[in-house]
Amino acid sequence: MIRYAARRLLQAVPLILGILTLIFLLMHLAPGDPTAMLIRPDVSPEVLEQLRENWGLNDPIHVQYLKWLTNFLSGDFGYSYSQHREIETILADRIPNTLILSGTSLILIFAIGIAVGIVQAVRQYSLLDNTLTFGTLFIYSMPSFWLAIMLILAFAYGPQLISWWPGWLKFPISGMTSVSYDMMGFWSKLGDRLYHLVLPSIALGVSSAAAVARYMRSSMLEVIRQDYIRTARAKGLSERTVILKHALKNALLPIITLVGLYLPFLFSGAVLVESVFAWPGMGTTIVGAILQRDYPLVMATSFLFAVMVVIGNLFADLLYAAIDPRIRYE
Amino acid sequence: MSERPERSRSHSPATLIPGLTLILSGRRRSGFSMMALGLSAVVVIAFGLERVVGTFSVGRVDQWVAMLTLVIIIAIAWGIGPWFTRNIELEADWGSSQWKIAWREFQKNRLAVIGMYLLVIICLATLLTPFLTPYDPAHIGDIAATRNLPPSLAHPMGTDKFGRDVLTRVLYGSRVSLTIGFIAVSISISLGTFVGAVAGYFGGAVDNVLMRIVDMLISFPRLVLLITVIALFDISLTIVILVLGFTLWPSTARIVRGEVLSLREREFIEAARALGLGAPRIIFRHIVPNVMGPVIVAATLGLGNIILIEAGLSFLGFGVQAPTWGVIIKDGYPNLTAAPWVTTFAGFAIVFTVVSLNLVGDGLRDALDPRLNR
Repeated sequence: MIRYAARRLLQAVPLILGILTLIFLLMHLAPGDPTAMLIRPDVSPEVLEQLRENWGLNDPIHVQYLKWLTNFLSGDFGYSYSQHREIETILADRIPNTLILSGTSLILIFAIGIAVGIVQAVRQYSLLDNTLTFGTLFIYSMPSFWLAIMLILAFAYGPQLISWWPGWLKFPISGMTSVSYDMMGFWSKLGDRLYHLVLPSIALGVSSAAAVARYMRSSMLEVIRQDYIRTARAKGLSERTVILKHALKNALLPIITLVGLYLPFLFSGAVLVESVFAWPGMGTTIVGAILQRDYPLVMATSFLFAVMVVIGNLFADLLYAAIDPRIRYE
Repeated sequence: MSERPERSRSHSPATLIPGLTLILSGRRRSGFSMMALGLSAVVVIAFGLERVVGTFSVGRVDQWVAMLTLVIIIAIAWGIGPWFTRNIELEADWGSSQWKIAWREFQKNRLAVIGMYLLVIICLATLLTPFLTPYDPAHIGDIAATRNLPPSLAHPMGTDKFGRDVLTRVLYGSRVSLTIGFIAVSISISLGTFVGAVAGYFGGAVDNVLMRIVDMLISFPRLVLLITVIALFDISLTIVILVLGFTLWPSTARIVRGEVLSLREREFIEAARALGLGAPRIIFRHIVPNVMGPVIVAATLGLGNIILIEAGLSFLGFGVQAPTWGVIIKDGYPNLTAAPWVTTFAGFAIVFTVVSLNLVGDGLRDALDPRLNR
């Protein structure tokens, strides 16, 4: 197991180097260089040339690549032109926000998905199963940002017009915290944060939850057909024990691999949902950076997105190997 | 619609109504489809006669496309249709090639068939757009009187803040969205199939290099990769299609490679190799046709995905400037309180298209997978 983990980790290294190389090549395809930002009538060409020399832009491309690589790997992502800050400090602010949002969604995805999948499998071909099958398909086909807007319409804008609507069901439209956040005590701070999380995490998670439900249903159906389940029933165990204790454990195994599979989708969705809710995360950062042609920030953010996916996949694989004894890795 | 009686071969008056003979002879599903097709042509001509006739005086390309579609619909419903359906049906009863079995299985899946009908309706509506709506998608007119009108009979989906008819914009938007989707999916599926087949067939170092590239590209969240690449170019329709096509192929490559790995060991490939056939011939003539099933499924589901992704791109402001569904949602969003119907209906257009694509895709997967028991 430890050898497998070590080998799996070693495999991730060339992958990350490859991702870095790809980003470097992409950015060198981009027209212009950083000095283009400074081209003005009052800046003489000699000064620009000097800057290029100082910034190492006249070096051969492999020298630039190696310098850039060593900087990047040592955590020095450079300087953002658009925000006039070190990129590390920007991203240090933003990454936790994205992780909070995606983490909450991830929990929602698997909680809802697994629950719905179990219900569908237990009541296969019933009216409930068919309704849920169609419902999950419908939700699965929705663009997450549109769902986000619809949620805003239904739970944030709309209720303002309805007098009898309970106040606690009027959710905030955007942002992570209320205006009065700094004046709150600890518990109301926590409550305020959770309150702001509700709509974005639902918008982000619900379509993947529908996909997980589909997998869970078929996985559960496969397990229920097996002999040991029949044995458990024959022993006279209650249906609840059979499903939740005996069947669920094995049905969950293939679902674990989905964690790694859905991370890229989750982050793609996060870019959109963050934009809708003005959530100050990596998604809004990369969109803003691209609109302002701030290439260093774009590079760093997309690199970190990819690294998060790689780490997530690694984690899911190791978890799977640790849990499923049938799988042997040589 | 009895204006083309000369097209029918038989002399029975029942042939004047498309599909009636089919219904009478017991093939009710084909009959009713044919009848609906004929009826749609009648309705389009009855309610949009001036627009149909207007084609000859205005003569925009999209109008001629719509005209061609209309002519083809009429030809199928009153002319070729009965003959074609009769022959296909007869053959389907006897034949048992892989595709015919799959088609029969597909037809048993009610949801998939509904999805297919929805798709046909969406495609026809897209092609016939200029005849379906009396408004111009960009026409603004008297803003004060027509802006932010809620849905009514004159404007089934309401109007936006410039007084433009939302239904018209959604219909015209489908053209751009579907065009982008179809072309991008063709590029990504062809590329993915090619890379996957080459990697799987040759194995070894080739496989290793290609699959590591695939791993790299898959590690990026799709949208992040897309906007990063699109940022390098000046955005245009061609660039959006190309970038979508050239960044979304890796998942197809992975599926195809998996299939090819098992195909490679089969006897018929060995036989082809023993005959001395070259690698290109084996790959394109013997391997690719045998992975068509999974590829078709990937293409159907991929088309839905690309439509979703393209809408996301447009929403972020990195899409094309034409009014695609994503752009309509984006334009309607700041005006959500005054005219929520703009965003709502454009989104429903996306959802219905993607739902029907997913229904058809799932149906195809079940029908084309020989491992599932029948």
